[in-house]
Amino acid sequence: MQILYINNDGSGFADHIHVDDGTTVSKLFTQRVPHGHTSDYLIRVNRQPATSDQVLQPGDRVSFTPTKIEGA
Amino acid sequence: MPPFDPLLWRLAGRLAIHVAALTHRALDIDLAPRAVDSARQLLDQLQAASERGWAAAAEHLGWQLRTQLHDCQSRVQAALQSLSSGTLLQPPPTQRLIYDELVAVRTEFAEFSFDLPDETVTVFTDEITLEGINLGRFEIRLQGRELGGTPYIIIPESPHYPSSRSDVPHPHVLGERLCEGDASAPLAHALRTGRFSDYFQIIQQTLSSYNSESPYVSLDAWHGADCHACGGCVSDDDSSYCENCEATVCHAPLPSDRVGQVAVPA
Repeated sequence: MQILYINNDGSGFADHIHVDDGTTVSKLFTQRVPHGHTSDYLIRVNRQPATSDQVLQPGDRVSFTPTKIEGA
Repeated sequence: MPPFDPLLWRLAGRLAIHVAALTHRALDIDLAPRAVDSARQLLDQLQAASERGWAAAAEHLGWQLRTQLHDCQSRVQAALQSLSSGTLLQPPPTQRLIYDELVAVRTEFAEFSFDLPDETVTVFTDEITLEGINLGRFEIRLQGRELGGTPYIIIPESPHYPSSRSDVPHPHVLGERLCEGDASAPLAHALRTGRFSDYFQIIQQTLSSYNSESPYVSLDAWHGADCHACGGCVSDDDSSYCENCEATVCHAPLPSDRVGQVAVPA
């Protein structure tokens, strides 16, 4: 199924990606941010806070935003 | 689902027009060769100061060079972002998408307001405390007509300025401008795709973070520096930096009971 995946880390990323049916928020996080910790990110599904075991649905909008972003 | 807000819908329509203009300008890339030249000049000056042993000058030039390099880095990141796959020639965000984004912003932030004639959207952050120093709340004001220039400004609700400067309400804010650093590229991306909920969230997280490498005023010196001679906390106006002993000393005379007990720098 297709979802809109947004990562506000680094240079930013927003695009539609394919994920397996039954994929949870935590599984997607592990796949996409393998060296990160969920506690270091604000995780939203369809612009709402999400739990790690939430199962994604087709067309969902998932965003990961770091809690620590360094200004200069 | 919150009730439909016709005024917010109209604002979303106006913002959609401004964002579409950004989308069309996506390939206006400014690599700013003058910024690189400035960095090169600062590097030459830093090397000269270092060779002469001018510690204070080297420290100041180092700070200027870091700021300049951050600027270069931001421009390169923005250029890379403009050219990243999946964003070129994408259709601009719709009024519907931007409306949904604004509704999400209203849900996310405790205080949200907008001004349709001025085309501004305003939110307040929570109280921000960095390394034990309370900086208060900050207003983040998006300026719809300025999306191609200064898209937003930062205004402290009750400024907690450092003792040395009255134009730095936050270690990474000068006047009303946030020095975005690592936030620059994701902010540009979020803006160009109309993701205003991410946009405000990224600004809030940046304001809630501290980068000790390049603040306008270090949190260590927020309440002034410690005087090497008397041990008191002093502001920049009331102190000098001694290059010989690499320490700050105040202008006040020593208390009579301490005269002769401390080594006052020349």
